[in-house]
Amino acid sequence: MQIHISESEGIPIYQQIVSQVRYLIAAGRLQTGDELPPIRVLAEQLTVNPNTVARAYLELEHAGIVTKRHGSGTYVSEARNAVTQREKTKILTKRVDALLTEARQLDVELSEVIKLLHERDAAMDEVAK
Amino acid sequence: MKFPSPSSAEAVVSITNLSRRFGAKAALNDVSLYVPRGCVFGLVGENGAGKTTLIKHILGLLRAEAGSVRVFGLDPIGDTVLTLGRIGYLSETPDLPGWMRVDELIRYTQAFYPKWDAAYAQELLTQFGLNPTQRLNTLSKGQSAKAGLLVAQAHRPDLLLLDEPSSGLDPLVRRTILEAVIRTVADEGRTVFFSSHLLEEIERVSDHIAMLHQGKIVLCGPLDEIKAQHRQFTLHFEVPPAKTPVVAGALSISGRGKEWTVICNGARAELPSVAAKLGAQIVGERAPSLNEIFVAHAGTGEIPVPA
Amino acid sequence: MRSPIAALTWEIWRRGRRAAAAVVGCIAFCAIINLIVHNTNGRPPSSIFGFLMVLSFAFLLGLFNCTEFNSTREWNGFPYRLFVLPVPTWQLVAVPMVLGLIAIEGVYFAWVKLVWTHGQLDNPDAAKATLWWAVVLGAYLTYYQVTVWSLAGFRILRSIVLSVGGVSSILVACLPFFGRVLNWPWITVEHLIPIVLTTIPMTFIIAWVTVARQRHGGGRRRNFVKALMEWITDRLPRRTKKFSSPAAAQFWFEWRRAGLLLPAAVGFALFVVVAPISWATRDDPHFPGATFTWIIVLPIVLGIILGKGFAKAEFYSRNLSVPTFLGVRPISDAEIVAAKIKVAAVSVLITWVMVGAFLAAWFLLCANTTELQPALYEFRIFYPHSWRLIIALCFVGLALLTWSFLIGEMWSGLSGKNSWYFGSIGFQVSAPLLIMVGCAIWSNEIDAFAKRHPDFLKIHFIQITGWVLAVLIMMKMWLAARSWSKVEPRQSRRYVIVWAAGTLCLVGFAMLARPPLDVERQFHVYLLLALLLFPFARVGLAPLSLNKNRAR
Repeated sequence: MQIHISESEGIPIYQQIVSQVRYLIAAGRLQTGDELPPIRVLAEQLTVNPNTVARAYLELEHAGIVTKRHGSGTYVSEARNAVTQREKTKILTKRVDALLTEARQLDVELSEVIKLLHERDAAMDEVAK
Repeated sequence: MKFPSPSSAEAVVSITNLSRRFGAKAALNDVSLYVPRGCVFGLVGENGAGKTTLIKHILGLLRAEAGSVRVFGLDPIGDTVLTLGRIGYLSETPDLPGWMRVDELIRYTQAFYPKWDAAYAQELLTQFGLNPTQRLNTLSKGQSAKAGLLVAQAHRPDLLLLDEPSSGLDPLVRRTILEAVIRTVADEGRTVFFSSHLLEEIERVSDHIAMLHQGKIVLCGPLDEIKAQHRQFTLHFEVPPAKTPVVAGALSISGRGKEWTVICNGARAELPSVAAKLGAQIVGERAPSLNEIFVAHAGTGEIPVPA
Repeated sequence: MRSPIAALTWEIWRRGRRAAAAVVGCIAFCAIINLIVHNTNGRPPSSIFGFLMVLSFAFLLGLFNCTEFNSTREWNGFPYRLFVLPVPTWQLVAVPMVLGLIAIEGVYFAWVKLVWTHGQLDNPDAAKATLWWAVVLGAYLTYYQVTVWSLAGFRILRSIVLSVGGVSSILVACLPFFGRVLNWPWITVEHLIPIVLTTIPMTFIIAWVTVARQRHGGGRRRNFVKALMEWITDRLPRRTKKFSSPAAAQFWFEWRRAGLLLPAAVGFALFVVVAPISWATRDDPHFPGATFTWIIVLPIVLGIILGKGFAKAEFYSRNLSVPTFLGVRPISDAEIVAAKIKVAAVSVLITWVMVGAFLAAWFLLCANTTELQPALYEFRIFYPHSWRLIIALCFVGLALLTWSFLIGEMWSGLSGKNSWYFGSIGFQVSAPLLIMVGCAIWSNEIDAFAKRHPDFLKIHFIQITGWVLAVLIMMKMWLAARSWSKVEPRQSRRYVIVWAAGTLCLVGFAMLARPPLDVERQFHVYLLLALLLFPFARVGLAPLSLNKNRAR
């Protein structure tokens, strides 16, 4: 499981782990029933405190994304489909908020932002062809 | 699996009102801190802040002139064997006897610790890539550090004490040391105390931190709380202030012209009004990195901007 | 600083300004005394002048020593940091040499002109002699510098060369004198001065070449003896079993550091030096007697010297503080001291067994014992039943004496305080020296006194000695009780048993070996001496000293 932690971003490490696990699930790289690495293994791999990893796993469990089975580890849970949809919206909402804040600071109108979105989408289609 | 959280009832190291002078200089000035069991405790401070002095008190190599030091509830000077038998120590300067070979070092150190795990020592030996028949004075700095780490870890100490372990070492060896730290604390009930001025490392692995500045503790507590308390704000002034603005409640302020950056410790609520009084607007806010918090506490508060 | 040469000169001056001040001080002091004496027509104190002149030259040598510790090569040699300056090597070497020559000639002529002005140097021969001495001094300064720089990696060889050179300088300086007295016509000042003068440029070239080699990465630091020892210890079968206890591990540690030094040194002296000579002189009846005494004394003298090293926490370091590696071991101070004591004991045992075996083989095989036979015969008559036991106890006593010297200094060495350690050694060196000097100075008075009071020695001196010894024993017991009460009881008990056994042996020896005709009643002195010999209080102080050192 490829996770990258950067401590200078200002985002708490456990939150980075949570976001990245969510992203991996949303992107399909972690399927239902896949096992997440044990806490100490992941802690050693990332060289972060095991408590941080434990906290991340706990939060994922509370959000219903993973389930813990007694004695055998942590697995991606079944309810991921609804979660995935919710997750995707949440990720995108964050980006949209950042975009809108930036646009307001630069004093750009909303209609212009929408126009820009259409343009960039079309450009991406061109590249994909 | 619920990870064991540090229990506050039983402190592995408790230092109370410790002071120490070397000649006229006060190396430690009324220092108090408690290291809970099972945590990774990071001690931060600039060169000469007193970190090594503090660690030597924990090891019983310095007597407490004022105040008290207790390790596992015992006096490290009175109960030398009982306390040192449960501590693994890696120092900044390699102090291993150069005439010994690696296998002799392992054999010699093994005799002192009843909890020595020979299989684990052998595993570490191959993992670190050390040649058992090589003399210690022919090892490079990184290999020396790894040899010291091996004998510090192999008896699975209840307290792993590292004094600036990564200073002057390459990233591979630094990673090895950090992994050792993680592995230690992942075992139930074992504690790590390490001092460093590489704040990225401290930030990654510590649960609790303490910051020493000129012999005094300026910060002490769980890392998450400390990071949550400190915020960095960017202030935008319509009229550039003639000299450095004085922002009440700010730890440090830096900048030039219209944009100034302020780091605060917990004064979040009052800042907008203070800023408004100075004629500024808060245009940005983020959580500062530990590096920035450290500089804010340790520096004079005003970072001169080159002309 | 206008030029590199000026900068280098300034640096030498700045580093050695205290030595320069000392030199000027010596000259000034003697010049003033000379002036006073001259005005009052007294006799100038030539010995003081001579002593201060030698002292000033010693300071000059220190000034122009120009070496620094090089941490990468771990030697004391030409300052490595000068090599990165944009200055050619010949200039780096020439500046201290030329300055040294100028300085020493200047100082010498200052002495000649200001101090030695009492007509000692009025004849024309004296002028030539003055010139000759100036030339010799200058040349020896350059020899000194070149030795110190070139042999930087060979510490032992350098010390030997310097000491030999120092002695030879006196001999060479006196060559014209010998030449005149022994009538060697070609050893005259006129011939010798040019010869010595030509050696000076040669030494400069040698220094230049060696320093250049050091600068560009050469300069051997291979210590052959050490490499040989390492090769040998690598080939020897090594123990691979675990240590059974921390005490055993610490014993091994101390043994590896210093355990074999005493046996090796004594063995070297016996088998490499004495054995061939004794084989060569096996028909000489005078040889065995004196040599026997030297052989017995050798381990004791070596024990005294090595004991100063044993006393330190780290044998080979001048730093008295406890190395962190040892300080962090979960072992008590008493155990560390116990390990040292045990290593010393085993060391002494091996040494004396070796000495005993050597003596037995020597006397039985190839020594000419005609002179010793009568003494042995007398001995056997005086002690018909116990002479074997006495010899055995004598060996035991000598071994105990050696052992006591090995461990006797630990209380000061382990304390970590330079003042205690060097103070104690200084006292032990200077007290006998002062006594000897005193006896030499007042030898006439002592002889006269002895003639006037022939019985004094026999009666009062022995009584006084007895009382002094008794007081010393009481002090020893009191100090021992105080120090051992602070050490953990188990170790205390063990050592008390050892002390009792050792003292019993010594007392038994004293009793068995009492002189059969004890007119002067010397016996009780020997008894008191036997009680005083075994180290008790000093060893008890050692763990406390170590504790103070380990936890400062």
